[in-house]
Parts: sequence; C-alpha cells; structure tokens
Amino acid sequence: MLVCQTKYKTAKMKKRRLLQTLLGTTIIILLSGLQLRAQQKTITGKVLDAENNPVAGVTVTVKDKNRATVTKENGTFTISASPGDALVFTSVGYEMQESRVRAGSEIKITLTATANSLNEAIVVGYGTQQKKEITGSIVSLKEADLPKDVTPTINNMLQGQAAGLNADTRSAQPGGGLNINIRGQNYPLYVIDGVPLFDNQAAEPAISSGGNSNEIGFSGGVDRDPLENINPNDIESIEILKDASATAIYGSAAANGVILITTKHPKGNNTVTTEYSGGYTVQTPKPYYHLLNATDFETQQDRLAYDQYLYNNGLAPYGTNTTGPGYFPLFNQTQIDTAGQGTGWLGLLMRHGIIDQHNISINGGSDRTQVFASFNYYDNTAILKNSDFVRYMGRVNIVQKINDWVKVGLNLTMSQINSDNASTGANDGGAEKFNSLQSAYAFSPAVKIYDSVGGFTKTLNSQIMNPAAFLIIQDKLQTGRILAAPNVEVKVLDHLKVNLVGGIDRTSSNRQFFMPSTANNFLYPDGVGQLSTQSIQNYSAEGYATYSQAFGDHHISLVGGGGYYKSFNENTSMQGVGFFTNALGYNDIGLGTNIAQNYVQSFHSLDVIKISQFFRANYDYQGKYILTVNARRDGSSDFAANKKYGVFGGLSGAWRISQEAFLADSKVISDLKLRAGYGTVGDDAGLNALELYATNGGSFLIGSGGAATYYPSVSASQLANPNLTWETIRNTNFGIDYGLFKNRITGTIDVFRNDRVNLLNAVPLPANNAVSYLNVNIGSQRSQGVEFSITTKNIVGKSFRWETSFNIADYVNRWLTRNPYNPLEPYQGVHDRIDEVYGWETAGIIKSTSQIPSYMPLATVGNIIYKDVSGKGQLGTDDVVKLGHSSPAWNLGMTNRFSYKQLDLAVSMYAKLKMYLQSDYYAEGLLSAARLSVSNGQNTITAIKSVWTASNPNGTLPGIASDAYAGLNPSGYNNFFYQNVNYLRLSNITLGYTWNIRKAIKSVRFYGTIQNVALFTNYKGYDPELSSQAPVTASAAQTGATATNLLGTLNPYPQALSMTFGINATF
Amino acid sequence: MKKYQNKVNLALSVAVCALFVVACKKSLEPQELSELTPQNFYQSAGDANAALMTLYVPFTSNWGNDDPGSSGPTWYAALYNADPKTYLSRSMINTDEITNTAQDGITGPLENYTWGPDTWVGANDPTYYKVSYVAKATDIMSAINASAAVPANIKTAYIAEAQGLRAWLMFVLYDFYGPLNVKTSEATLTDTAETPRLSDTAYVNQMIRDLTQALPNLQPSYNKDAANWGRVSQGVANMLLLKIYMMKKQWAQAQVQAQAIISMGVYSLVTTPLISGQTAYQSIFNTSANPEIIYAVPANLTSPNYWPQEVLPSDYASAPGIEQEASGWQVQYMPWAFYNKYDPTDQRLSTILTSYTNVNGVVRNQANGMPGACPLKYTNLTANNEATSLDVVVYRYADVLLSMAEAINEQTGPANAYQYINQVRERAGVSDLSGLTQTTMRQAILDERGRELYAEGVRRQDLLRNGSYISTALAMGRSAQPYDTLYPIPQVIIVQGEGIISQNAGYGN
Repeated sequence: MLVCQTKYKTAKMKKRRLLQTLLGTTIIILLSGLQLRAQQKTITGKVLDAENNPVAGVTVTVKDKNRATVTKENGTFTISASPGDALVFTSVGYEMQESRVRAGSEIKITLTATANSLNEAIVVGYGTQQKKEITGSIVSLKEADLPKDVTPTINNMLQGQAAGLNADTRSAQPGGGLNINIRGQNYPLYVIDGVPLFDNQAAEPAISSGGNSNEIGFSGGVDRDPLENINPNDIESIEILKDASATAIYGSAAANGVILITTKHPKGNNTVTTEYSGGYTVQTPKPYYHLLNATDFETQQDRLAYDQYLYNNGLAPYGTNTTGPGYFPLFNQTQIDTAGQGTGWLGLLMRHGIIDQHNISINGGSDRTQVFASFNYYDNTAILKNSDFVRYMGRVNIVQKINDWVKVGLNLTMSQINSDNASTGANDGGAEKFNSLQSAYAFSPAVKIYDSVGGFTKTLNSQIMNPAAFLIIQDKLQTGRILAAPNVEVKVLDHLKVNLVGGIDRTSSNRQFFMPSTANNFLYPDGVGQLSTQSIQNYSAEGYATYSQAFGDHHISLVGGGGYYKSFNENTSMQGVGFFTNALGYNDIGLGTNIAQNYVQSFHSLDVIKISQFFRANYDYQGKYILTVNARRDGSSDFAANKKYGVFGGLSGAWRISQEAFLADSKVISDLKLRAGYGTVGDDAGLNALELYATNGGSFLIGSGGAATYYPSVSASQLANPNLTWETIRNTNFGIDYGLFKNRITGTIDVFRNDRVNLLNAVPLPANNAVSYLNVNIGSQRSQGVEFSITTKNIVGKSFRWETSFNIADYVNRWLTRNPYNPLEPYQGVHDRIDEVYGWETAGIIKSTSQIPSYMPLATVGNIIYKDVSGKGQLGTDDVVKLGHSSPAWNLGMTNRFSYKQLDLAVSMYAKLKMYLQSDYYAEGLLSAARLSVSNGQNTITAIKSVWTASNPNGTLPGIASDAYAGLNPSGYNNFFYQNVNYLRLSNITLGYTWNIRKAIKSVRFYGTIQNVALFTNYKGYDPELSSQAPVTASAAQTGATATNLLGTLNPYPQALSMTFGINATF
Repeated sequence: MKKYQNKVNLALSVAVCALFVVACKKSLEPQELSELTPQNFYQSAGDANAALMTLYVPFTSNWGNDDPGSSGPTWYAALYNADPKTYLSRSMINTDEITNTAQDGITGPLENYTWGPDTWVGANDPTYYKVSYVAKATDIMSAINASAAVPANIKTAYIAEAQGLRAWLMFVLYDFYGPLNVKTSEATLTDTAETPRLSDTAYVNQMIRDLTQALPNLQPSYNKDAANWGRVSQGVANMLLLKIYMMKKQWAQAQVQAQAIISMGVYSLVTTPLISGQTAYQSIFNTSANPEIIYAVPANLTSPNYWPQEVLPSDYASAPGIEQEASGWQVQYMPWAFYNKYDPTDQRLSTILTSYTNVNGVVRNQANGMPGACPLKYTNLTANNEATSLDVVVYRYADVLLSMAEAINEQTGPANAYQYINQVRERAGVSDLSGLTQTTMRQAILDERGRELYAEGVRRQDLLRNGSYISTALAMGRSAQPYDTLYPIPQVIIVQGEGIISQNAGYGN
C-alpha cells in the first residue's frame, strides 16, 4: 500500500488540484449567477485534442463580438462572455468548432484534426511521421475517408479510393475475395497493427480431390478474402506504401507494395465514448444469365442438331452428299409447342438476401489505462441459397501506462465465421462435375424438379446433377481467427524509446461436407462426406529502438531493429464414400463403406523462416529539406546457403517549396512539396529453391483384385540452383504534393518507374529432359506509370458543403530484357507489353459458300473468317497481330460528398477504361453450338439463337462445322470473342441525417445506402469486374501464358444490388 | 525506482540485441515436413519402387497426372485413359472403327483430320510430352543403380523394369511422331542445348537394345502373381519387340518374335468361358490376369477403367445383361458400317450394345436414333457410377496369333497362316477361312484384327501398316492429307528447338 501511495502521489495531487479548480470555478459561477443572471462574466475552459492532450495556441473568439484570446500551454483559456454567446475555436490543423456559453459549467472542447492536415500522423512502418515529412509515395486513408456503411471486408473499402491501387471483386459471395494490386503488382504485403502477415491467404479449405480422379469436381466455391475476419469498423487508418523508398523497410516481402492497417487506438481520460452502428440491408439479385426457356431450348436443340447431322454426313450446305442415314429430331413439334416457359433453375437457387449487422464499440479509460473494445455481428442471408454467412468479431485494444516511461499494450482480435457454401466458380471436369450454377445453366428447362416418385429428375445428359439437389448438400465452414499483437514501449531516455512487438496470427477453418445419396450425384450415387481443416499461421517478434531529437533547425530521427518471422500452413482432409444412411450426415463419415474411394491425407507446408534487421533515418532541416533512408537485411530459408541473405534499401528526399520565403506570400500556393525517391525491394515469387523431389506425379495401381496397391510416385521436380535468389525491384518515384487556395484544392501527382530485374523464371530446358525447366534469375521488366489525385472543396458554405475526391492512374508493364532461352515468336517484340494479346483478326463468319475466302480452302459455312493480314494467300504466323492489352489503360475513382445542415450525401464510383477482354460467356462454352447440338445437349444462354445454321443464314456466331484453321493459328487466339471493354460502376450512394442531441445520446445518424447501384459497360459478358484478368506475372508470361489464359472467375457468384437502412449512435 | 528502471532497460536492450543475434546465429534451414530432398530420398527399396512408379504412372487408366518435372507443373492425360486426348483414343477414334461425337476444339480436329502443330497445345497433346519420361527413366535407372541402400536383387529387377518401360514409352512416341530426340544417356540429362531427333535406325535400335537387355532380368509373367500384376514382364518386352518388327514390316523377325511368345507357354487363347453365362471372348475382359492377357493396366475404383463410360449413351437407363444403372458420356461409338463387318453369329458381338432403354423408357437402336453401336468391350458393369473396376486390356495373346498370321502371309502367302487366324475365328464361333490369295488374306487379317481387337487401340497402327489409313479417312469424307500418318510435333517445341528439332513432313517449318 505504502509503495502504491508514493507511486501514485503525483497523480493524486494533480487530481486534487483539478478538483479544487473545478470547485472554485463552480462556486464563482454560482455566486455570479446569483448576482446577475445575464451579465457578462469570466468563462474558463480547456481545449483538448482527440488524444486528450491539451492544445495550446487555439484562438478563442466570442462570435459577433470583437473579443478573443489564445489558449495557454496547458490548453486552458479565460474570456469574458455572456451565457448564450457562441465561442468559436480555431487553430491550424483542426476543424473549427463552436460552443454556446451556458451558465454554470467550465467549457471543455475536444478539437478534431482536419482531414488532410499536414500534421496528421501517417503510419510508415515501425513508427509514424507527420504528413508534411513524408518523402515516399504513400496514400493515407483515415476513418473519415472510408465508406461508413456496411462493407463486408476491409479490402472492399479500398475500391476506387487510392490512385494506383486496384481492388477488383473476384467473387460477389459474402466475404468474397478481391484481387488487390498496387501499381499493377498483385499480392501486397499486409501489416496489421505492426504485424506483417507473410502468409496472407484465406484459410477455407477447398473440397479435396485427395489425389483421386473421382473427385467431386466442384471443388471451388469458397473464395474469401483473407481479411474477411478483421472488422472494418475497427479501422483507424489504412496506409498504402507504393514506392520502394517507402516499402524498403519491409525488404524482401515488399515487392508488390505494402498496406498498413491500423486499428483504433484507445483514447479517453476519464471519459467513455460508446458507439453503436447497425444496418439492415436488402439484397436484390442483379439480372444474371438469360437462359433459354423450355420452348426455345427444344427449338434450338433441334435446329443445331439438324445442322450437326448435315455436317456429319457431308450434306449440303456442308458437303456434296445428297442422301444421309436419316435424321431423328430429339423434340417433335407437339413437345415444342407445349413446352412453355418450363422450370427456371436459376430462380430456384436465387432469392432476395438480407444483411443484418450490429456493431458496438466502447472507447475510454483513465489517465493510465485506455481501452478500445468492439463487438460485431454480421449476418448475411445470401442471395444464392446455401451460402449464408454469419460472423462474430470482437476486439480489445489496450494501452496501459505502467509509469511515465513504460507503456504496454495489446491489440487482440478474435473472430468466428460460420457459413454455408454454395458451389460456384471454376470447375475441373466435365458435366458430371458441374457446380450448382453450371448445372442450372445446363439443365433442361423442360423437365420438372421432381419425378413421379419424388426423386430428383435428370436432364438430357444424365450425369448432370439436378440443380435443386445442390440445395440438400450440407457444406458448412467454420473459420476462426486470432490475431494478437502484444507490445511494450519504453522511454529509455528523453529522446530514445524502445519497442517490442509480438505477433500471433492463426486462422483455422473446418469444412464439413456431405452430399447424401438422395442428391443422385453421378460420381457418388451412394453419398460422399468430407471433413477438412486448414490452418494459416504467422508468428513474428520484432524489437526496435527509436531516437528522435531536434538540434536547432536540424531534426533527426533514427529507427533500428530486428525481427524473427515464421509462417506456414497445414491442412488435413478425409473422405468417406458410400453411406447406407443419410441420417448422420457429415457427423460420422467413418461409415463410408467404399474403401477404394475413402481417403485420409495431410500436408504441412515448409516453414518459411525469415530473419531481418531494419533501419530508418530521417533528417529534416527547418521542415523544408527532408531526407529519409530505409534499409533492411533479410535472411530467408527459401534459398541455398550462399544466397540466404539479401539487403534492400531506399533513399528519398523532399523539398517543401512552400516553406521558402518566395512562396510565403503566395495567394495561390498554400502547400507545395517535391519528392524524389529510389529504392530496392525483393520478391521470392513463392518459390522454394530447396525442394527437389515431388510426390505430385500421380499414383499407379499394381496388383489384381484385393491384392492391388495404389503406389505413390516420387520424381525429380526441380534442378538445384545454388545461385537462385530474390527478384529485385528497383523503383524510382517522383512526386508532388500540392495545396492551392488555402488548401481548398489538394492532391498528389506521382510518376514512377519499377524495374523488376533478376526475375525468378522457369527457363525451359529441352522438353526431352527429365526436368524440363530450370529456375534461374533472368530477364527484367519495366513498369512505368503516373498517378494523379485531387480533392477539391467546391463549396464551403455555412450550411452547404460539397467536396470531390478524384483519382486516376495508368501504368504500362513491358519487357526490358527477355529470357534468352525463350525464343520469341516472329510476332513478338523484345520490348512488348506483358499484357499484350496476340492473335488473328477476324471478319465475321462465312454465311454462304461464296464467302469462303480463297486463302481458306478448308473452311466451310459457319466458320470464322480470319484475316489474311500478310496478304500471302494463306494463314500463318505472319497474320498474327497485336490485338490489345488486357490491363486497363486507365483506372479511375471518384467520390463526391455533399452536406446540407444535418444532411450528408456521398456518391462513389470507379471505372476502368480500355481493357481487352474475352467474353466470359464464350469462355464458359455457353456460345458454342456443340453445347446444344448433341442428344445430351445442355441448356445455354439466349444468345445461342445467333448461331449460324443453314436455317439461320443471318446468324452471327460460329456454326456447327469444325474449324480447320484454329489448329494452324500459332498464337492460339483470335479476336472473335474479344473486345476493348470500358466500365463504370456507380458503387455507392449514401444519404444520412445527423441529429445532435447532446444528452444521454450525443448524436444519432440515420442513413440509407445503395451499394452496387449501377454498372455502365460495353462488355458482352456478365460483369467485366468479375471477369477482369489478374495482371500477368513475369513467370506466367515466361511460360507462354498470356493474359487470355488468366480469365477471372467463371460461373461467377451473382451480383446483388444492396439497399441498407442504418443507424449510427454515439453515447 | 531508478534501480528498477535500469533493470527494465537492461532487459529490453538484451531482448532487442537478441533479435539481432538470432539473425546471425539461428540456422535458416527449412524443416522438411512433407517434402523430399536428395538428403532423405533413395534410401530404401521402397524409395526405389516409388521412383519406378513415376514411369508407370503415364500408363494408368486414371485420367492423368501432373508431370512434376514440367514448369507449373503441367497436368497431362494418361496414355491408357479413355479420354479422346489419350494415346489409346487417338489410336482409334479417327479410324473407321470409332467415331467421336465431341466437336470441340480438341476432338473436332482429330475426328475431321484438321489438326495442325498448334491444335493441341500443352496438356492437350499429352502423348508428345511423355518424351520427358524417357529421360526420367534414364535418370531413375542410374539413381537406383547408384543407391547403396537398395538390395542388389531388387536393383536388378527394378532397373530391368525401368528399361522396359523406357522402351515402351519410346515405342508409343515412335508410333505417333516417328523418331524423337529421346535421352537415353545419363550424361545428357541436364543439358540445356537442344538435340536433334535421332535417325530412324538409331531410334529403333535403341528400343530393341533396351528390350533385349531388360528381358533376362524381367519376370516371365505376373498373371499368377496377384500382388504384382501390372508390372512389366518378359511377356510385355517380347510383345513390344513383336510390335516394333510388325511396324517396321520386318516380317521374318516378327514371325520369330511371335513364335517366341507362343513358345513361352505362359499365354494361351481362352476358349472356354471364364465366367458362366458369358461367351469366352466376353469373359476375357471381365477377368483380371487371365492367361490370354499379356498386359493390362490394373484398375479398381481408385484408379478406374473409364472406357465403358466413354461409350455408354448419356440417356442410358438399362440394357439386357448389364447391371449398370448409371449412364455414360457417349463420347464415341462404333459406326454401323464397321459393326456390319461382323457375322451376325459372331460371339464377339456379345460385347457390343446395339439397343438400350433410355431414361424416358424409350428403346433406342439403329432404327431409332442410335448413331452407331456401343463398343462396350467390358460388360461386367456392376457399379452405379462412372467407375469400372475392370483392367484395361493392352496386349493379348490373340494379337500374337493374328500377327503371326500376318507375318507369314506377307512372307509366303496364306498357306501357313490359316492355322493362326482360324484359332481366333473358331473361338468367336465363326467359320474357318480358306482359299484366299495373299492379297485377300491381307484384307481378311486386317478385318479380323478389327473385329477381334476393337477398342484396344490397334486400328490406327493396323491401317497404317496396311497402307490404308489415309484412304479409309478419305472414304469417310474426312479431309485427310498424306502426311497425316504422323502427328505433328507441337509448334512450341519446334520454336524452342530453333531449327535443331525438325517438324514432321507436311506440317510446315
């Protein structure tokens, strides 16, 4: 007790003084109140910032009266005013604030920092810097900049928000994944509260094939964002580090940029702020694939099958035969006439969705302990049945001051997601492996759901499972994540502090799958069950020291430290096949009686261990000339002994021209900073140089009957290369930060050049070698681009305000030097763009024999006409031309914010211009005549009516006949189903009304939001965002893959229009 | 308090320093928890067997496998799977024997003879890429040989199997592409320079040398060794030699080789049904390791035989004599013209379906929309899904007898050939042949081979040997060219070869 008393003496004394002051003030006010009610009196008060620190130098004026004062060092002020007067508080870097003088209380004002303020703290990795000191290319998004409505994941909040950052939705499913790329590079490094996540992937396991060919096939379906289990409401800021001078402090993991996510810092001194936000959303499916109805299905089947018959038997117009074996139409006229609309299979799977979300957070503390805690509940009844998603998340961020020089903290979040999973997306097999959406596209609309005995019906191709049968599949996922970042900060000396930060990040997911025998699946008619788990784990320990001191006009800040990191993932899966009962579902898959198809497997990835030292120095002279040096040395277990270590570094400088005397009086330029930076970072491209044998070469059955053994095989998979090391990215960046007309207009312009050298490449060895490739560091690429962002305060009225943020970016990624072992095709240039699409040009289809070009003698009616560009009278290599670029020429984002008194309105949109895309309908085979022309035909979209046949001479899509020239096309591609696509998505409109009550409830905001409002596009497919290709990576490009191979999601989860009504309340 | 502060500072300084020290001292060796490296592999007979299995995997009846030695790695279809991409299917489905219905970009050109060097890119040309497995065989033979941990007798046996498999892979490649630039010398395995294709003689001699060297160290047969059925035996090596001589039309050697197999005394024609209620012919395909089978790819539900599914109609519900409930893909059928080559009393018709009841209860047959007969081959279909557990028959004693007849007829005319072809005919319950000329006997043997060995992947070779591969295609209205007798080397290989690897005649470059 005694110890405690001495220890807390100073604090207690302070408290007592405060009480005395308060008491004194109150007495004075009371007395004066008795004397003269509405007379002028002396008002005292205190001005604090959001962190509860006193703010000095704030101008306090009595509104409409010529009286003013300035706050002292401790934030207090005294001024004389009458009750009812308005006090106005103004200070550089803070929003202006007004407060009415009331009788009987000391005024306490908390100022909020101005958005885009130059003093704003920017998280830069192992510390923060003020915005004005930043020398690299960094975009900082604060809570206020981010959408306030119901967003499922953090990555969703980034869409259209930052120049140079692309966030494309990959799947529209609840919590669905996004492709995030910074300046055209995929997979940035995420750092959450200082913890780098080197293995950042969603933990949900796919339905496994177990190495067995009899796999279920629709293994896809779950495509979640790795950040699905971090609460978007907890975010305080997101910093996007774009250039190497900024990211170099993360060294070998920072090749693709770094995204720093900071969760809410606990604040409050004997205050508690409680916030509640809740929303109720109705989701309406957007128009999805337009499938043929029953009448059309039967009509089109007969039409195409007849031409198939003509073609197979060489009958006119395809051949010269005059008699054939006879044609038997699958459907007769009576059937067609009575078929009607038939069953709408997609409608059976889809419905209106509902999102119910509640979020509550408490922020507060004492002078020693501050706590931020939040709880989130998110329940999405999804638009696709059987894919419901429920999420519970909790967070506690604690900062505890042990004494004046030791502070400990813990950022802890835990989450649990329970979801069902409807099978969508990619598929690896034929009709027997169709997922729920594919089966709904393909199933004949002419059949009913159930047969006469209540079983699921079959379509023409009896291997396709009935779409309704997918609804009785049990497919549960439980994903839990714990992310804990304990930290200690010690102020060793006045100017020196030491931080230790630990990181434990564990995401584990279980999948329980059971398809009962009643689903009548072709591959597993007696039922199949699977249990699988996957766990992604990141561990880290970092320690660093920060020294910061000013010597007159010189200010120096140094950070140095080291870290140890380990990441790995492990998974297990087991399958049981053949169940005599469906009663137990996945709860007892050991009941599976089909021993040959049951299996158990497990996997543990190589532990990737990394050891690093890092360093940063900042020097700043008079706040005008700023220099930053970043460096990191990384050791990785991925490479051989002599290449384990790599050193990466960055140097950048800035000149704040606006601080110079000659601009001091400028009426136009209020802020101007020039930045220049150069840095190097690394990338291991996911490669491990030390694995030389693999077990993935398949198995072989030896033996007869019961004596048979399925032996695994082992074979060489990589040739040792002791010199293999990181790819290096050398980056140069020039930027301008500008503020005009008293910062009414602010923004940034950046130009950059990224040279990616020593590419990790699979050099092809002769195909007749046992291992036909060798991983080496060879070749280089150059990416150049420009980014522009501007924020304008268009109208700053007393009641009406309008602010616009706009960004636009472009980059081009080309070959600098190619891999000399990879000879170029004649049509490829040495320095071609990486996303170049090569192919033959087309000129429609051959509609009559007279249209068969002379250089295409093997062609027949219905074939595509390829252009003989070379004019040589035959098609070949020299007819291959550059068709387009798969990356968009421009990426744009714009947000407009309006406010009128208590009303606020925000409208966000983003756009991509000129990206060369293939129609996803074509990629899914929905435009192929062969789909419908056979007796086991599959239903398809209504566009199939445009297929050319003898009876449809004006058809525009290729007909039945085999294309003799497709196989002679050296590029493998033609532009028939390609186009340059532009799109603009009006992503969000939010209208809110804020009611400042200032009582028990401080304020309430009611809002309505429409998300995914509209899509404007010329794309002849479903949705160009879901179909957009990931930028081609160096390794993919080297192995011959072009952008066209990397078509995005097929059979995509349908898009929804979401309308939310919600409340935010602050207590 | 000051003292306490110093302690904390000290502790923290130690901790921060420790992180630096760790960086210097701590080993960065990865922990191989589920990966194999040179340090932990080839250390036992089991390891050697796992390596040997790499060479068997391409022959599986299962769909296919990743080639671990390819970048990616790339997945390729297996040789004896029933998919239209495979060696088995491309050996018959564009002949008069089988027609494929899938008019996609992969199968359409095969069926219509419109393929070119760019038609089947990467995984769509699975057969060519088996060239890498020849080098893998060379590598594995030397690695097994070098391992001190593998017992000597096992070493000899496994190396012989590997050598036999190398020759077999070379034969498969030769059949489709002619002589390739295979690597049979350990010293060249990691060369980065392209090598030209071998001469025909050198290539053929290499195959014969491998088989001859392997023969003495192989087991005669595994027909009575249930645990090892599916391994390469003397029977297989002898059969490959016979196939090579037949293909090269070295009739005298072919006759000697066929006689050698007959003289082994291990194999015989099954003339009485092995399963009651079935014809003798029918029962061969439903009985594993019976005396007529020289090699079959073992199959069970883990690694099934997909042929029946490939030919069963997709609206199939039931057919007489077949328990199977599930339908198939009906990717390929036997044209009626070929079916009509059978005598109506031919017992071999018991394996071909000409009528079935569909899912709507309608009986379908030639008169009611069946585009061709269903060449089931395997009739003990009991499962109600796509999996069939019957071994995929590859080499069979009946083929030896018919080859013998052909080799004799080509040398000396039909007189001494009748006994061999008639054994096969008698088993099928059709009358003996007699009174033929060398020319009419040649046609009779071709037809007999068609009827006897249908769906066993021999038709393309037979027509090529007979010189009627192209004319048969032209007669069916396909746009076949004279050079279509060999498939093209994939264009990417030609480009990568920079002029060193020559393309097959007729395909440009």
